Amino acid sequence: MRDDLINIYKDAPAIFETIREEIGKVVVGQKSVVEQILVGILAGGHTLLESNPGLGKTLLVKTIASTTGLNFSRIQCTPDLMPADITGTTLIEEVEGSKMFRFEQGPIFANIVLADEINRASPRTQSAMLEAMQEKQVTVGKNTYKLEAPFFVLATQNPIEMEGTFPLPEAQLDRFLLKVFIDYPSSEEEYEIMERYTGHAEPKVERVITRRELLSLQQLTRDVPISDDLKRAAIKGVISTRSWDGVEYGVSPRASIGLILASKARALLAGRDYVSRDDLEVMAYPILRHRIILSFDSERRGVTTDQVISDILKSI
Amino acid sequence: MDGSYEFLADLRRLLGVYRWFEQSLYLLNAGIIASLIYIAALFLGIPAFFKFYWQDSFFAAAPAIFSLILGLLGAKLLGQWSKSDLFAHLDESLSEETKAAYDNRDSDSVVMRSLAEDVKMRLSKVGAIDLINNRRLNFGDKSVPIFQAKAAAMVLLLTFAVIFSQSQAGEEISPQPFKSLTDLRDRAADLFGEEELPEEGASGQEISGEIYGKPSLAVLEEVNLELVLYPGSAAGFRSKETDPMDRLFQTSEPGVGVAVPTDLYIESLPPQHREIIKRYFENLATSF
Repeated sequence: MRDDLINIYKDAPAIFETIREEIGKVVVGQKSVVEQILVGILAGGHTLLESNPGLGKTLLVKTIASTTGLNFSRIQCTPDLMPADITGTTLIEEVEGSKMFRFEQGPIFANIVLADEINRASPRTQSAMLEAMQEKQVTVGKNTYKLEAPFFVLATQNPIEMEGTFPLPEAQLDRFLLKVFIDYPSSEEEYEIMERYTGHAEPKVERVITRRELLSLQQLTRDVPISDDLKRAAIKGVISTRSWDGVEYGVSPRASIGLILASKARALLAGRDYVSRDDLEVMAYPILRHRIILSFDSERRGVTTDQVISDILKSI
Repeated sequence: MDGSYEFLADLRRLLGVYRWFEQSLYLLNAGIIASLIYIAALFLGIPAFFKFYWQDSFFAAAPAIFSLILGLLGAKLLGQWSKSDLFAHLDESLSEETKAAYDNRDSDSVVMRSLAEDVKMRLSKVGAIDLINNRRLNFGDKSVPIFQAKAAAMVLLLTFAVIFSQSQAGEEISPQPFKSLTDLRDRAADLFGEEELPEEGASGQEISGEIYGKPSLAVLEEVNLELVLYPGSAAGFRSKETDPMDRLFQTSEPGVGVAVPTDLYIESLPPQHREIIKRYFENLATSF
């Protein structure tokens, strides 16, 4: 096992480079978004992607799933989607003349689950999914079913001010390790997208990493050393959010854990065997932005959570 | 430092250099602060004052000793204010890397081993001079190592203090308007104009050195004291015909020199200054 880890650790930079290249065949630009999603996968957390429609959220997640040898399922969330549509349901089945109950697994039983437009699902369905995300198990009736590791939910959502959406409650947002914004591509990138998707050739990606390798990389992520100073800085930053001017509710200790794990994952992705301050600062945004609840006055003044995070980072 | 990683040996070596560096910086800071305080004291004339009153005693060196003590205390405070550690003397990436490795020296993992090897390789290339040169003072685009800058500043300040104290001893302390006793005596002879006063040294007693301040007024601790030299007082003084003057304590006939006790005058002075004023008159009188 140790030799395996050593080999995978040695190969890690090449593996990550190949993943980036494969994703790059399909997804144009969005390098920081790709990096943050990979951070989420290495850290074993769920990621919430937010952007306006048509910016390739679903394509990006599908492509990332394709580069790994993991089971992938997609749930298109709609207001009439029921919890059982996600978790699965118990069916009565007739076997050799006798009737038996059989559990039919829902799409949540996969390694990578794409929950498309999660904020279009009803709160009840969201709740069922987020419980599975937290516990990594599904309870149907009296039976509990473990979800196979690794298990990630990559959820996409349109901005909440759009019609026909059910904003995720704050407590449920906290279960996402990262919230990643996808911005519009630059004009050069848009030209490249147009070129790539208006011809006959359809870009295809190859599988470059196995489930076992991914699990090893997740284990290596947790082993990346971080200095005590940076741990203290992370805690200071997290605690600051609870008393920061213009913030109604600060973040939970889950954010400190997430910040350290995500920073370790970023260091490993960068081929570094220690966490730098830069890792901490870069990861603070996707880790904290969906957990900070601004006061009404701050929102009225147009203050954003990213601005608050910038100010907090300057103070630590 | 415990743990079994090899980079810890390099860290120990650098820690020795760092401690020496910190002690040297402490002494340099103390020297700079002490020099600045002593130069300020020179401007205020404090060392000259001490030299004048306690020429042959330990107190003559009091300003220098006091400056040194303040310098040591100041350097101590400065050290506490700008507290740093060995890691701050390494370049930024090496510092982060070494700190992470040091804080995780008790853990054993594939990544930690890789980090330990990397840190050992990088630390082995760091010499004492790199450690010293790494902390720099920036002046716009240019920068100089703090250690060298402080050493140069201290040498300059000490040189200035020595030169300044010598020049002050030669010029400032004996300003032109102040006259020696010899000059005063000559002026007195001109005023009286009756007889030649005995030549200097003829009395067998001579005051070496200078008396500072105008002979009619002494300013001691911001108290103005009138120096009254009564006619006929003290030995060797020449009387002169004057109008009769009423005194509370004595009367005298014009033209007759009478030895006048100065006790009442002396007693009218503040107690702490009596002795010096009395000595002044005694010196003045015996020099004639």
